[in-house]
Amino acid sequence: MQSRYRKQQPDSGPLTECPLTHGETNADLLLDFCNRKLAPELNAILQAHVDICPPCQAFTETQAQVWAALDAFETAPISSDFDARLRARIEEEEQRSSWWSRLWNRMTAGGTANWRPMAPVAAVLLLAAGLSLRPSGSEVPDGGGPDTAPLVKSAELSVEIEQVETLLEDLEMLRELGVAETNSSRQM
Amino acid sequence: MAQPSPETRVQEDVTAVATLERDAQLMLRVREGCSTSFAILLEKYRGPVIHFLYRMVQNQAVAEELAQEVFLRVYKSRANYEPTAKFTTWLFRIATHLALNWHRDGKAVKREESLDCESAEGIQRQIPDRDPGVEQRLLREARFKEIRKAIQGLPEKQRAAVLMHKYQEMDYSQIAGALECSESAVKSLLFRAYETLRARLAHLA
Repeated sequence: MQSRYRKQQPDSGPLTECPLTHGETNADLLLDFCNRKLAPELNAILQAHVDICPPCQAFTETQAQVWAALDAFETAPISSDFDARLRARIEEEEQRSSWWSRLWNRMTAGGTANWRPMAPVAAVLLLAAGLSLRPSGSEVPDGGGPDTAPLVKSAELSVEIEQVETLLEDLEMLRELGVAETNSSRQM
Repeated sequence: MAQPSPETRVQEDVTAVATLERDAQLMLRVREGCSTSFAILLEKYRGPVIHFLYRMVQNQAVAEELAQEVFLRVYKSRANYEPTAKFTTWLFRIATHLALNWHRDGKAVKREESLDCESAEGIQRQIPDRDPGVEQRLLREARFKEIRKAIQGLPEKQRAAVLMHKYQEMDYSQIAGALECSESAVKSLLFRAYETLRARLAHLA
């Protein structure tokens, strides 16, 4: 069968004679053909076309060569301690987030409590606590030096955490009271 | 060109679906707190993720560091995991994001290995010396260097698309999911990338 496509060498410039190699829209057909991913019927049709189409032959040949070349792109062995390092990072991450998770779980009672109605009360309580936590004489003295400042700050932080925990307990109590009130009002 | 029979293709599809479901089920178990399921997923995808990242950033230490971040993010987002997308699509989306961010942050410029320099982590480590002939070894090294250069010369999204297509054998929809673009955009990326690679690498085969 006489081919209507002009024979073209792969390195003689862009292959433009066949619509299959020319446009981006059709090129995936040839890629899938080269990759043996086409359905058998479509593959047979394309095989018949490639057999008589020099540009498509050139395309499939060079594509196969590219894939063969890419196969040589080997990778390095993975470090033997990869999993151990990952485990350490996960543990570190969990420890870092654990105090926050405890706080969150208490606030949400393990995700089951409907605390949204209590949010305004909590906000007011937190604001009041914030104001009461600012003692007038607790500023770090100017001559305190860099060694004493972190101690003072950590002491303040521990007081703050205690205050927040107390507040949360109060909040929990208020929530229970709220639930009790709701139940009693329903009973009435 | 030999084609797989219809029966083989169906069997392959069934296996692929079963694998996808297995991955999603494993991840759902991770969500419930099963660390063994996480270990299975890590065992299965450690290699593919690190190799993908290595080919993206071309530095083994950075690839492993980014892979650690990928699995850490998978673990941290276990509580919110919903099997709406394929697990591999989600996994490679995270990996691609990290690799692209790494390039955009300019870290690539600071830590990139010189392709002309045979560093301890580069060519010498990559190529096992199966052939004792010096000439053969040099030829293989030159070939490897050229492949790395060709891959590195591709724009980042094209590079990611080719790596997922060639080495992970992901289909267009999966690549589109990982790159967060349309399938036609993926086809266009692959077309242009392979066009460039054909011009640069065909002579190597």
